Amino acid sequence: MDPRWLLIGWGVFALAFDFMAAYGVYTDQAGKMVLLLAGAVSLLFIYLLVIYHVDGITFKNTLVDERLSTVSAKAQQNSFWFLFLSIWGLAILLNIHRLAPLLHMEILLPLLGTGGILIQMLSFLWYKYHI
Amino acid sequence: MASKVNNKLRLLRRLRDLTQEELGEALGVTRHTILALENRKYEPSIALALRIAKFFETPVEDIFWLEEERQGEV
Repeated sequence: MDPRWLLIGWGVFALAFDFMAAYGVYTDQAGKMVLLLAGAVSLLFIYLLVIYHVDGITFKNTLVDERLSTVSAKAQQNSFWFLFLSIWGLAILLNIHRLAPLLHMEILLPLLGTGGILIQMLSFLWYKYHI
Repeated sequence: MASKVNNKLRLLRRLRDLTQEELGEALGVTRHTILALENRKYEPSIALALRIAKFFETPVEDIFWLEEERQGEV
């Protein structure tokens, strides 16, 4: 089967989800899950379009490509170091200064987690496409 | 960092009049991996090197070699 059908199929799927979400917003009945799913499905479709544009028909090999597992491991390593250093840094800062903003752990820790994920994603893209 | 393993993948591909995309398709990797191999930014696994050798019907050591062994070639 031509892998481009995956792209077309996912595009139709994303469109259907977006239509459902838009209709839900219009009628004021949209649940948060529908909006989240529509966003996630659309983001994945955009990512598929980008890798199809870059890799052509070989985008279908993305999940089995041996180089990408190496790239992914490197990106995870960067993310790990970011989390390791930032959590230790935070602990040391708390011990030394006890600044008021540092006491809001319920915001700081999710922010660090989000930073870790972003670093993982950006590192992956950098190692993958910077040739 | 550039790889220490040199190769003549680009030459072989051009001799067969293939695009990077077509070669990637034949070897089961993405076009970017072919690009990385040709630019010596990535050293393939033994399995991929053997698949490349089989595809071009050429001994693997004729396609890949250590840089210090044959400096100035290709």
